[in-house]
Amino acid sequence: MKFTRREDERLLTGRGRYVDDIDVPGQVHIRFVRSQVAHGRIRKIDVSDARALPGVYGVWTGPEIIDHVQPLGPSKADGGVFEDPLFAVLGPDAGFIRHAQRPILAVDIVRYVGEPIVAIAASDPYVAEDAVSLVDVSIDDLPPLSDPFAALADDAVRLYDWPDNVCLDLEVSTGDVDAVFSRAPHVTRRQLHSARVSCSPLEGRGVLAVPDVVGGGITVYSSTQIPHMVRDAIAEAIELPQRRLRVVAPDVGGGFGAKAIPYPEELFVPWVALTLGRPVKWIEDRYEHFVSAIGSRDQIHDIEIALDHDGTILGVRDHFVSDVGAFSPLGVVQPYNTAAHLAGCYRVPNLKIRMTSVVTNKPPLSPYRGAGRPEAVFAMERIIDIACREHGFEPAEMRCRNAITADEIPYSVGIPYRDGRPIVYDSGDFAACLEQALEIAEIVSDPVPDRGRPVGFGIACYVEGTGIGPFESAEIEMLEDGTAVVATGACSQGQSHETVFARIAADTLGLSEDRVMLAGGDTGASSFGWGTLASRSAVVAGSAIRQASENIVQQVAEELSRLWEVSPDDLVFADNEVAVIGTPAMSMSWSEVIGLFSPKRGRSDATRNGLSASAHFVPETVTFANGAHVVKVAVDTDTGQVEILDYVVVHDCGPLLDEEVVDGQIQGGVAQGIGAALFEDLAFDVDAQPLNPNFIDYIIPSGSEVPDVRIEHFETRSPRNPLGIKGVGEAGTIPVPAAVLNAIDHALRDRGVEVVRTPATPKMITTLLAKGRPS
Amino acid sequence: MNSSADSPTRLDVEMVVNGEPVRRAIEARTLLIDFLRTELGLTGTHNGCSYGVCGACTVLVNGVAARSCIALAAQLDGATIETIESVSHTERGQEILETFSRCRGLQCGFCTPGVVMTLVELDRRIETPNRDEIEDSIDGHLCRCTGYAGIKEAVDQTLGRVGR
Ligand code: FES
Ligand code: FES
Repeated sequence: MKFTRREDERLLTGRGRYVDDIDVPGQVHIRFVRSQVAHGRIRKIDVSDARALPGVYGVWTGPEIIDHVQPLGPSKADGGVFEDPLFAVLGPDAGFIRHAQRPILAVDIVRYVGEPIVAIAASDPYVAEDAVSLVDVSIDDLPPLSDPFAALADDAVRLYDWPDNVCLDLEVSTGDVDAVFSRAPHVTRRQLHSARVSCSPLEGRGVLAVPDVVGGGITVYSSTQIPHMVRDAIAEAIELPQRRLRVVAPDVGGGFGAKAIPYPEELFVPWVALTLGRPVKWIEDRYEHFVSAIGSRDQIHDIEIALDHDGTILGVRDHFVSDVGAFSPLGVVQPYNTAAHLAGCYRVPNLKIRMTSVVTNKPPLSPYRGAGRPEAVFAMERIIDIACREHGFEPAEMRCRNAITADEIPYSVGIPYRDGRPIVYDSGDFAACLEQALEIAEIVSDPVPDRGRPVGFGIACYVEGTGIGPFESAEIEMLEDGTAVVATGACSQGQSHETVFARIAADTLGLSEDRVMLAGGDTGASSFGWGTLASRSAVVAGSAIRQASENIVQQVAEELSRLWEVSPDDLVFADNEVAVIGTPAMSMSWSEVIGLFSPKRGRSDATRNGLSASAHFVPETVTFANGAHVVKVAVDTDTGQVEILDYVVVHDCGPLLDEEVVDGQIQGGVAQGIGAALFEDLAFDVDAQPLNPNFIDYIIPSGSEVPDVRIEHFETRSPRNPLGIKGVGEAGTIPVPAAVLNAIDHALRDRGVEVVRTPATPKMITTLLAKGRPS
Repeated sequence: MNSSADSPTRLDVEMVVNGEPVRRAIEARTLLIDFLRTELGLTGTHNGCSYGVCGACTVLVNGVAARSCIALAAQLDGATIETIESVSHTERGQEILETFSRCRGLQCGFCTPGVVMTLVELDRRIETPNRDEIEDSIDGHLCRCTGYAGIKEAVDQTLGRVGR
């Protein structure tokens, strides 16, 4: 059989290896008893019946393990590393951040429905589930916080030992915003809300911890985007030397951010394995994913825009509140990403953004694909449309007037990025990219109805800082049979790394692709790594692989140029061999070349240790991708149903490593954006009880709701990495809710409808139509 | 599944799975998906929700696409089951898998076995394809990665007869 991607053969024949597919003799299964109340004080836990159940190997409560498994502090994933430089740059008056410790199993207090309270290990998952039903937990209710504004009230119950429920309050600005607003000819202000959503990869989280047969170490298979960070977190939590710990991300069934932080369960399972001396497995079920994996978005913006007489943007002022639930493991990342991307593609000379993150009794919040950028684009691109309508500007024309052009690049926004470096757009032509999208979409200001349904166009543009550091690593080892093993910290959850990364190495080394093996996501194969998140892997791991490959080439060139007495520049690396240009007699196959470096050859310089190289790509700062989306919708005014008639994306991620992979990332990203725009709303009642933690009531789009996106590429090279590329993993998702809601407003232009919150459900639209005025 | 020590009722079941006769004594509550994955080691069938919505667990029961997460194995005594592991055993099956790969019908691959089994069933059953029926079948599968374009393309190329 012939397959396009290297991963396809095993994934299509049922031989993929996701965590739950790995079975180890003697393994036991963990299930958790989770809180059913959002906020309360644990009075009593009775586990005696569960302990007595045959087949149960262990039952643990929070107080019993607190001395053995340390609570989770703020995650080092992004947050910890960039927080300090960012706060240093913003200065002491800019604001503050507070971090809560996240217990592994609740001690005394529960803070959200779904928080783990008791863990049970049993011979099989059915028995573990039986035992869960035998546990009796009594909890005295405390007042639940289900709304961030209520949580801000002076008399609100405090979730932590803090003076209030605020865990982040930060302001960033450039120019003189207040002065501009006091004299601007046009000002428009709205409250705009991006609802809470769930990442919902089709495979949930899962961990299998297997004690080593010899050596006292442990191997942990986890469905994660960040094996190296998980390794470090486990090592710290259970005080195990890193050396005795290997973390592997096997095949992973999607992540999108849900698997980009270490979780309590991930630290607990290895401890149980070491305690019981047995392999231990925990597989998250769908309910658990909704209530205990992170949710995301959940921002309410009070945003205002000031325009000049001709529609030129004079300034933007925004204060947004994030409802982060009980914990915010990545603290500053999501809100600050929103701030850093708010100005987007446009010249905004005066900008002031205040962000306030508030703790409530919802599950923890952390970045999901787009990570604060969809929220930013939603606020900015919606306020632009609303202002245009209010003051009589054409949205397309107004955007073209304000979009940054190629001759303004490098363009300085005036505020720092979240790595503390100034935001300087390094490449692109945002105006031209937008114009191209407008042309392809054949946008008109007064589209004709489609079978009686009003039709509208919506536009949204975005920039995206991609390829963030601090670093990514690659190690290449050349084997004596003429093959290369490439190891990197970036692992794949469907992004085709095996295919794309192998090609980068193969091209540089002149090897055929089948001679390059990729080992991603295994701390045993590369001891350093950061992980796959934040649209970074192609940029940073791709660059590291390129550098390591070039290092190998250089070592070989030095050796052969000496041996053959030719200039290194005359060597060509192609077709699985190294040859001298124009001298067919002088060539050597890769396996012979590698032999030259082998200690087995007994050469005089016996220090030789084979042929290998490692490289760590450390980007100076992010590189900016950008793009424009134009969507055409029809709205059924009787049912409120929205149909997407056409979707156009013009995207600039620099030179394409693999066009079909890039297109696949965009198409899949747009589908998730459509979910957030029209369907997805992780809802809670006033008691902070989840209302729809399942695939029946929480709707993710199916095939007929997602159109085939028309994708065009606009290529400008990044000067910030050797490949000239910019990341693409999140881009497709970012502007979708803004574009779709802009289109709905446009379709209903004669009916006075203004949608200010995602998702634009049929019910919301019919309600707005009935009111016939802005909501 | 292993029994717990107070050993709940065990039932004998016989099935033909991917062409091989199998016989096991199982707990009455064992779901088909767990029977396939745990008893038989056929882990290509995936669990994405365990309540019949996502379609990841789809297998063929007596030739008909069915959700193995909401079927009890014991009820299927005597049934013929086909899972993703068997698709490459036939030439036509191989063509379908190649088409799926060529059309980029998968990214992470987790939903894929279920979609492929539905497609195998449609391909065998449908003489004159009907747009609505095909769309309904594919709508029964959630995919969070691909945005469905590649899946639809693979379905159309396989069934080969429908304009989109
Ligand atoms: S696992 Fe059976 S339908 Fe989702
Ligand atoms: S390919 Fe990942 S869910 Fe479909």
